[in-house]
Amino acid sequence: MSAAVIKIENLVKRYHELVALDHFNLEIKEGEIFGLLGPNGSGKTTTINCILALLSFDKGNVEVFGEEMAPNKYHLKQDIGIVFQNVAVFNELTVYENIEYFCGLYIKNKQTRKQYVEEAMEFVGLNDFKSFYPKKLSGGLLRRLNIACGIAHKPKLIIMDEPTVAVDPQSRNKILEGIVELNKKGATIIYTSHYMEEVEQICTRIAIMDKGKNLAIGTKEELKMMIKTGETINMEVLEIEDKNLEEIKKLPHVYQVEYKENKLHIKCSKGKHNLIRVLDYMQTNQIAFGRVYAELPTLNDVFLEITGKELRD
Amino acid sequence: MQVFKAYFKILRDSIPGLFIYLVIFIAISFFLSGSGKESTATTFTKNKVKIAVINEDEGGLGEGLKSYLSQIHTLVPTENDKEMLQDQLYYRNIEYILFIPKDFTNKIKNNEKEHLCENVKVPASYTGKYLDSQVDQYISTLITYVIAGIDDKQALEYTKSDLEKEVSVQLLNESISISKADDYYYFKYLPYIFISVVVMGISPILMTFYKKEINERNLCSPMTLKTKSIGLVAGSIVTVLGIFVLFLVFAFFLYGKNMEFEKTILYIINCISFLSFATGLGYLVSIFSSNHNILNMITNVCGLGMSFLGGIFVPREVLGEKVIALSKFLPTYWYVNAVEAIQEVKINPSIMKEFQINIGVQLLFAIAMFAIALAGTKYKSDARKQVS
Repeated sequence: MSAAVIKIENLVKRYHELVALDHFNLEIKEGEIFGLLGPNGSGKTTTINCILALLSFDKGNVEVFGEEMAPNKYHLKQDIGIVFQNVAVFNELTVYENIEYFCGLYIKNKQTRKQYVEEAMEFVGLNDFKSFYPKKLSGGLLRRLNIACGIAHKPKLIIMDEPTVAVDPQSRNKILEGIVELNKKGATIIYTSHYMEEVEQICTRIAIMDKGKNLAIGTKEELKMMIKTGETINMEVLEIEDKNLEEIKKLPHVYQVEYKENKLHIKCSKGKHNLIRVLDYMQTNQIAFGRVYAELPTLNDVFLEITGKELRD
Repeated sequence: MQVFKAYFKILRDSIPGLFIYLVIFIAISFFLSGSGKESTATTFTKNKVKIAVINEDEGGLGEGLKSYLSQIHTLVPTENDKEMLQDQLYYRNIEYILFIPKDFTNKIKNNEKEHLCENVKVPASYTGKYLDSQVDQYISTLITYVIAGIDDKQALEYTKSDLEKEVSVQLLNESISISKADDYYYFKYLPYIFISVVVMGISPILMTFYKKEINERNLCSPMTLKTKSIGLVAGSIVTVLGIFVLFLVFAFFLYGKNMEFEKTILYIINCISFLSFATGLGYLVSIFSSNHNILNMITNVCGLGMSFLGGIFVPREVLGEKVIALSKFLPTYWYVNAVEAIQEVKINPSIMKEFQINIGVQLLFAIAMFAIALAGTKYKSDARKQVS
C-alpha cells in the first residue's frame, strides 16, 4: 500500500463567524491524482493554504510526507510544487526569467536549473515565447507559464488550485494532458476544480466538498455507486398529458419525471430494462417522441444528490 | 541570491523611467541652484539711464532740473527734432526724453502741479517709471521751496541738497544677504530629489515582491524569510547607493574645483543619513500602496511637502514660527540644518556638535520609518492570517 503524502485530521478553520473547514479529514496516497471537487466557497483553497502552511488553523493536524507541516519546514517545501488559482508571476520578467527565478528557489545548481527550466518550457509548450513578457501572453499561455513556474523543480507533490480557470479549450486540454504526464513521471497531484468534467477526466480519486466538509470520497465509479440515480432517460416529446407523466413515474425504478421545453427527463434508480419499459409505455399510449438517449450519472448528479444543489451554484 | 538577481532584473525594467526622473531632477536641481541664490550685490547703487532733456524754459528752474538729471543719469545731447528723437528712442540710444516747456518756471511759481513737463519713454520700461519718479520727486520738492518764498537759486540748491541725502539701511536678518557657494544650493535641494528617486526606484520593486500571489509563491518555497529579506535589503541598498553615487559624481563634475575636502565628507555623511530615511520611507510606502498611481501621489506629497515645510524650497526666514515648529517633525528640517552647519564649520568648529545632532535626528527618523514599516509588514501578514 502506498504511503500517505497528505494526511489531514479534524481540520477546523474559522474566518470570524464563518466556518471554512469543519472537522475536515483527508488522506492522499502517493501516485494519486486527487481531485478536490466543490463549488466556489466550499473550502478547497482554504484546505490547500492549510496544507502549505500559508494559513494558520484553529484545530486539527496536517501532515505532509508523514511530517507535521509548518511554515519553517523548508525541507518539506522543497518537494512541493504549487500552481495557484491566480497567476503568480513577475510581469517585469520574461517567460524564461520567471521560470528560472522560481526554479532557482529550489534548485541551487546552475546547470541542473538551466536544464529543468528548459524542460519545463518544453513541457508546457512555451519554447517559442521564451523572451516574451507575461503581458504579451494570451490567457492560456499565461496559465501555462503559471504551471511551469510551479513544476519546473520536479516536485514530488504538485498542488494545482483551479489551474484552468478562464482558459481556452485548447490550452485546457494541453494542461490536463500535462497533469496526467506529470503523474506518470511519479508526481502526486492534488487538483482542485469546480469543473466536474476535468476532475472526472483525470482524477484517480475524488473528494466532494461543501461548506468545509468532506461529503464523499472515492473513485468516480465509487462515488456514482453511492447515489440512487442509475441512469437518466431523455426524450424529445412534443406533447404529453399530466396523467401520462404520473403513470411513467409509477413504472418500476423510475423515481423522478420532469417535462420541460418539450423534453422529458426520467430518472431511474439502478435496475435493468428501464429504457425498454419507458419506450413500451410511449408506444402503448401512442405518444409521439423524437430523439431518445440515456445518460449514466455524472459527478454533477453525485454532487446534486449529496448536497441538494448544482455544482456550479 | 535569486531575490537579489530578480530585484535588478525588475529594476532594469524601470531604468528608462527612472533615468527620465534623474535627468529632469538634475536639470531642476541645476536650475534651482542658480535661481535660488541671492544676488551677489550687497549694496544699492543708482542705475544711470541714457536720457535726453529738451529744455525750452524761459525761467531758470528748468535748467536746474536738467542739471540735476545730468548728474544722476547720462545726458545724451540732442536737438529738438521729433523724427530724430523717435529714431534715438527706437534704437534705444536714449530711453527717456523729457520736454521742459517755456512756462515751466511760471507754472511752478503759480503752484501748478499738473502737466508741468512732458516725456516720451520706452513703453512699460522700468527705467521710464524710475525717471518719472525722480522727476516728480524733484518738482514736488522744488515747488515746496518756491512757494515758501525762497528765491529760485536758493530753492534749486535746497532741492538738490535734499535729494542727495541718503539713508543707511540695516537688514534685520543678515543671513539673507550672505552669499553661499554653489554646492550649498545643490546639496540643499537634494532631499526632494532623493525622496522622489529613491521611493520611485525601490518601492515598485518591493511592491512586486509583496504582491499577494508572488509573496505566497515565495512563502511556499524552501527560501527562508531571512534569505528573502536579505536579498531585498541588499538590492535596495545597492540601488540607493547607486543613486547617491550618481548625484555625488554630478556634484563633483559641477562644483568639484571649489569643494573642500572636509565639507565634502560632511555633505556625504548628511546625504547618507537622509538617504537612510528615504529608503525607510520607500520601504514603508511599498507596504501600504497597492498601485503605482498611489505610489506617485505619496511620492509627490512627501517630496514636495517635506521640501517646502523643511525649508528647502522656501527660505526659513519667510516661514512662520508655527510652520518652523511643525517642520521640526520632518527630517528635511534637520538635513537643511546640517547643510547650514557645514557652511560654518570652517570658521566655527564648535558647530560640529550641532551637525552631529542633526545627523542623529535624521537617523532616528530613518529608524522610525523602518520600525513602522516592519510593524506594517507584520500587520499585513496578520491581516492575511498567515502563519509566521
